[in-house]
Amino acid sequence: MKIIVVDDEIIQLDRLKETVAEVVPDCELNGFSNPLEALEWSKENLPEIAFLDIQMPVMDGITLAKKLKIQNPKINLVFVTGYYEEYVFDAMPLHFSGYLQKPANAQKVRQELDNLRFPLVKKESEKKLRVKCFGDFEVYIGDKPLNFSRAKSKEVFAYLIDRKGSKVNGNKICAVVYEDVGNETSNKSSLRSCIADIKETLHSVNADNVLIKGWDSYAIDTSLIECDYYDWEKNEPYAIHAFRGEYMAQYSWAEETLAYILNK
Amino acid sequence: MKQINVVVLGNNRPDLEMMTMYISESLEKHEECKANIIGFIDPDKAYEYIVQNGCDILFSEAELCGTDGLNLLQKIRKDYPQINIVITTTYEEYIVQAVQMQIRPAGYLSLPTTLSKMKDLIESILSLPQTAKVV
Repeated sequence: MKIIVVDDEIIQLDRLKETVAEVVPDCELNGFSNPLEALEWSKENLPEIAFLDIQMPVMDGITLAKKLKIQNPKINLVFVTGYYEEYVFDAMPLHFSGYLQKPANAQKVRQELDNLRFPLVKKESEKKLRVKCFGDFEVYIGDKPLNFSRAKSKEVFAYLIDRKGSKVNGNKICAVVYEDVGNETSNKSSLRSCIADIKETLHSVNADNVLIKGWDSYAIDTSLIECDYYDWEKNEPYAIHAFRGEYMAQYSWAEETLAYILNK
Repeated sequence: MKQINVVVLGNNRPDLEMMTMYISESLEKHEECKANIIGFIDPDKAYEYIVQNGCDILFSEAELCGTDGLNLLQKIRKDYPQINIVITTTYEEYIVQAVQMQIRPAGYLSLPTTLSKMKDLIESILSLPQTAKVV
């Protein structure tokens, strides 16, 4: 996470830098008393968050913010000013992430960083698969959706994701995914084909270990995937922000989990 | 085609109709968007709709009959950080108050507004990048 702090008054600059460093000690933090230097640095380094004083000689904070947005439209702008009401209307067209009265204490800075206009998500870790449950269910390898050869296979995989690592037997999967369609024998046969398809699809992206198969039991190794729903349960800010009222929207059986999320 | 849910919350039907008309006309030229615009006088029903259906842009009066508009918007902001909230008001002090309450409005419209101002505002909101940045 790259953060810049810009204030022409050195004392204010140092104070805010200290506060930001206290809240996010592992961020890459750079302070500038000269807005032009901040702009030059940002051109190469594209910070994600900028705390900006407004009233500055050389270049005021509003103008600096406009130029930073051209460099990076997703930059989170947090104005920090002693002239609170004076600049609100000038700042608003920039869709700032935050607007604070000086001095900005650690609590206020933390609040801003927890509620960014353009939330930051973690980089892809060593986990290969990324699962999106909010909105439509989708599985990604890198930025590309993973293609199951059968829609039902994807649905079975979604159900296992929904179970969060718990083992599920074939009868239960059939009861949920097939509902009242078909007979038991044909559904079980179809399920076997789906599991074979899931295994093959995971194998094609070197993610074989994600599916744990026992005798008539199936589960997901949750430690091998990134999942917005799992991160939501851990109160990860990006996941909380990602939830827009829909969970695995294609699957009616997912409504139970959706109700749980909405009630939490 | 992208679906955009727009919710308009106001105090009377004539104002809601006018706002809805302006929003609809402003979105007309965006053929890539399919806009679903719905108006409410009842804040509770508006909130319930947002919970059930999601919302991309919420236009709300700062003063609402029977409830504190800004407190409602603060709650909506907390529950749905990514909604673009536009405050409509005749008193600019409410805009400052909204910023102080960390409602983080995407914009504001001083009432009475014009179609031209609505178009500029909609353009500005639609030009915002919507996805989360990977770090």
